[in-house]
Parts: sequence; structure tokens; C-alpha cells
Amino acid sequence: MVTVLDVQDLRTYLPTKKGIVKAVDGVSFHIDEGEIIGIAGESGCGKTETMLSIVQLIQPPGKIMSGRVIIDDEDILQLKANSPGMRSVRGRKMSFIFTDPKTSLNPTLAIGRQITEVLETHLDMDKQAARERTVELLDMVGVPDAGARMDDRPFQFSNGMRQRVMIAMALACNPMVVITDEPTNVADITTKSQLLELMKGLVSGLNTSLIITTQNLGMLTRYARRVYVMYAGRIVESGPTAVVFNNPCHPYTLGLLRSVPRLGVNKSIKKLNPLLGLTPDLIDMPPHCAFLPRCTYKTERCEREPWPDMRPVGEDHQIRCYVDLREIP
Amino acid sequence: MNKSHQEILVEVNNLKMYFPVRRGIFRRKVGEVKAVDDIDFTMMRNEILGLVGESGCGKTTTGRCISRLYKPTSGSIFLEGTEISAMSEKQLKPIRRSIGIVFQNPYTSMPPGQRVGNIIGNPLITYHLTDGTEYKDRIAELLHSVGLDPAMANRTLTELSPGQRQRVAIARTLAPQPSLVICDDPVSGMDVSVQAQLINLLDELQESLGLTCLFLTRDLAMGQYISDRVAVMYSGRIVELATSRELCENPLHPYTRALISATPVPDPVLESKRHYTVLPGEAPDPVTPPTGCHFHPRCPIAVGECHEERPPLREVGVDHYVACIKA
Repeated sequence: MVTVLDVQDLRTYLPTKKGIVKAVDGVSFHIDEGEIIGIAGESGCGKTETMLSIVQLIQPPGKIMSGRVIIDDEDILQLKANSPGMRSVRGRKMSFIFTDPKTSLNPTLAIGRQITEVLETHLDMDKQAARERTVELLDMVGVPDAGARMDDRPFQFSNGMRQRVMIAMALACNPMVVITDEPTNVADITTKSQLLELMKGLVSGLNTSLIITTQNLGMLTRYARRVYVMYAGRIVESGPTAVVFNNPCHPYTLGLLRSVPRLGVNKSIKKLNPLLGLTPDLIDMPPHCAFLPRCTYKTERCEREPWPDMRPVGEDHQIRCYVDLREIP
Repeated sequence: MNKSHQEILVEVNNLKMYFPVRRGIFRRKVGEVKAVDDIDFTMMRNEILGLVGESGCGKTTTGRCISRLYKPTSGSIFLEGTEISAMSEKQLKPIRRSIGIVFQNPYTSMPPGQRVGNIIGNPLITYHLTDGTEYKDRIAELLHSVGLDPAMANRTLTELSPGQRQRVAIARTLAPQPSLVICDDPVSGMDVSVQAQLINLLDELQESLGLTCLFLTRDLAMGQYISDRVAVMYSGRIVELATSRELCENPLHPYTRALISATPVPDPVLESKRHYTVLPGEAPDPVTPPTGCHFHPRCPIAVGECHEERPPLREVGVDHYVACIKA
């Protein structure tokens, strides 16, 4: 497998009035060609900031402090955020699918124009070629009667169709990596599964890699080959989804899994056993594990020593914890 | 669940809620949104009935009709034997306190600048449920029952997290001791651990206070977990109603099956064994819904008859109803 994107020790800090928020604090992950991976974690864990840092879309005063983001043997963090080089990375090599279709399309422009613009800018296509390619793209994502509909504006489309347009736009330049950031509250489940099935089919056809960031562990179980679980700006567990969700070794992963109701399990059969407490404030973090106050498996060592580094607990399976849940009866 | 041994708390018959669509300078009525299109169900005392459906299916409208925030177009709603669907505001006044609502968004359902104690205490004063001496104790008791520190009474809402706000909303709803609580997707959009904390709280409160609860949600997994019985709604109609267990183990309506298939389970072993099919198309426009069964354009097993006649919700098993001629 060829690694297409390699993120190493990424740190993004956001200064606020109260202090510095360490939103991303030493995140490393990679994705192989044609692979689908998931980044799981609750709001405030830094998953969105990580994705925005990769393409340098962090708004000042937020700042990427350190790290390397290697795509195509090039460290793109060396490029200036507004440089032409970086702009061509966004769109050509990497693209985003924002799943809130109401705010992510320009309401005043015909949807065809919003896609041809991408093609003309990044691939130097002429108008005619760009139009033809756009019809192809819209066809590919299942917008019916694409040739006629490309002159319609976003409000003339349903939510599901707008999301398809977003997907077409993201795939327009055949990027190496597509990132989809999924707010929890958007599409209905039948629409969501339509779109994910569509994306899965498209990325495997184009050999593109897909990063899904979500809280929905079920979706990751179904679609992601590997998963990274984030907490308080760091990755706390990583590995193949089938291994991590079947045999979680980090207490936070276990807590997340136990918080999700499962089909066919009523409260009379088995109660939910949720994580207690709240995600921590990322200002003035203690040196020890940030999950400690909510952890039910903590030992004396966890309070005494700093947050450990990632350590392997199985093939391609790592955790950031002194405790390994498999060793606890 | 055997109905004869239990007391019926809510009975809804032929409930319809149509909203007019008006156009032009004279605001002429040009059509109707059939948000709720002739539904029937009953709720027993002390049960949680889940109403599951995607956005726009009419579950919130149903909740608002039963709580009489809307006056239904037609149909009857019996609450503890009293017909409330056609009552005037004046007639409703003594009944208002028996119906509590927990809204979806705790950021818009309560005034943000107010102190928690005032928010919870407001219904106590409005309904004359307490004298001055008990007032503070009652607020402390309510806060305690929703798992908040009684000292929080002096905090303002802006200081609280979403989960804490929703707990305050629940305490406010429970303050006048309603006989029916309508929860309108109270956990959607929250972190999964907070969702689970709130759901466990509702479960505990339901047991300790013997609440009767109508739980509206888009999340089938959540709906079937918390509820005793689940009704699945599609395009203004109930398409299937069964006990949670029966619904998951023996779903009969093709839409219920599609929802189950689309809901993934975070268990790699189970998930790898499941078969799932993608439901084509989108939910119909409520102004011009399809003829016959509203689901037929997306239905994998539809036949000619489905285009013509609306299938009735018929009993197919013990406490299992389905509106499909092929089921």
C-alpha cells in the first residue's frame, strides 16, 4: 500500500482571552491510497481543527505551531497558506465535502458554474470542456437530467441533491484525498446512507482516499477500514476498525461505544453505560492524561506520570494509556 | 403489553393537521401541507411511546397537536378521558399543566439570561403550586432529580453546557408534575456521551416518577432503546407500530426495514453480517404527496394497488400494526 497522506506531530494552538487552547496537540496519522479511514471523537476533541490544519485553513489568531503534512513527497506545511502552491493543493490534491449543503454552496451562482470554476482554475480547462466534464460529474453522482439542471441555483435542489453536487465538486479534479466533515445534526439516515454508499463507490472507482470525521461510530464501523479516536486534541487509540471497536483497549473508546444505543437492544435488556462528566476545557491542561477525571480504570500511576505516548498493543493497534483494558478482568 | 389491564392515558383518533399554503396578494389558499394525515394511536399510563421518522414526517406536528400548541384540523385527542382537540384556550387552561414538553434545542427553548432557579420556578408560580416557604426547596428537589447541584439555581443559563441546559429544561417540564411528557428529540445534535447521560436520566425519571412519555426522534436506535412501543412515521402517516422488540426483530413495513438497514451498529462482528440496501429517492413533497400509499414510489415491493388506495393500519400480531398491503 502506498501512503498518500502522512501527518506527523501536528500542533495547532488557538489563543483566546482566557489562554491558549491546544486544539490539536501532536496528532499523527496516515492514509493509504484508496483507503477509507475514520476520525472519531466528540465535539471539541480537535478533529475538525486537525482537518483544517492539514489544508491550512486555520483562521488567525489560530496558528499551526509545528508538524509535517506530507502529500506527494512534499511537506505542504512549508507552503504559505495563501500561496498559489497551497491553493493548488486544496482542490487538486485534497478536497473537502462539507455536509451542510445549506451553507456550503454559493446561493447566487448556478451549480454548474460552481463546478466549472473549479475545473477552469485547477485544470486549465476551457469553458466548453469544463461544461462537458461538469455534466459527466453530475451524472456520476446521480443528479438526474444533469445537462439541464446545471443552470439551476442551489435553492432549486433538495438537500440530498445539493449534497450530491458538493460531492461532484469535491471530486472534480480527481484529488488524492477527500475529507468529509460530518456535523452530527444534518442529513436523515436514509439520505446519509445513500450519500455514504455513493462516496464509497466513487472513491473506490477513482482510487481516492477518504477521511470521515464523525461521532457516529456505527457509520465508521460500516465504512472505515481504520479508525483514529481523538480526545482533547490527541489521538488516544488507533487501529483497524474491526479490532478497535470489537476490542477497545483505551477507556475512552470503550466509554464511547457503551454510550451508543444499538438496534435490537432495549433498555429492559441492557442499559447504556455512558461516560460521565464532560469533555475538558482545553485551556491549562494538566500534564497527566486529560481523560483521567472521567476514567473509571485510572491507576495511581496515571496521576503521577505525564500523558503517555502511543504504544502498540497489537498489529497496527496503538493506545495512549498505561492501562490496557484487555488485561483487566 | 396487555391493554385491558392498563389504563389508557392518551387516545388519538383520526388526527389531521393541515397547514394552508397561501399565495398571491390576496393570500388565497392554493394548497395544503398535510403534515399529519389521519393517524390513530393510544398511549398507556407509564409507558414511553417512541415516534420515529425522518425530518418532515410530521412527528413534531403530532407532538404539538397533542400538547395543543396547534389546534388540529380534525380528529380527536383524549387525555385522561377528556377530549381536548377542540377546546378553546380558556378551556385548556386547567389542562395545560398536565402536558409537559421538552423541546429539541435547549438554546432556544429557554430565555438565556435568566437564572436556573427562576426558569424552573416559573411554572410553580404560574400554576400556584407552591407557597413561599416551599418554593426554594421544591426547586432544589427538582434540580437534584435531574442530576444537577441545587446550588446551580443561582447560575444563569449562559454558564451551562448543552447537556446541563437540557437537564434544566427537563426539570422545568417536570415542575408542575405533568401526566404526559412530550420529548421532541431532546438529545439530537449532542455528543454521544451526553446523549447517553440524558437518555439514562429520562429512563430513571420515568421509573421513579412513573412518567408517560411520547418520545419523538429521528434516530431509530435511540427510539427503540428508550421506548416500550415504537411508531414509525412516514410523510404524515404512521406506517408501523409495535413493541420495540417486535419492531426490531420482525419489521414488516418496507420503510421500517429500510430504516433498520440504514442504521449501522457499532459492532464490527454484527455489522459485517448485516445486509443493507440503499433506499432510493427522497421523502415526498408534503404539498403534493403521491397517491395511495405515500411510500410506493420508493418501495421495493410496491404493486399496482399501492398507487391507488391508502393502506389501513391493520393489526397483524399482538400489539403489532402495519400499514402495508403486502406485509
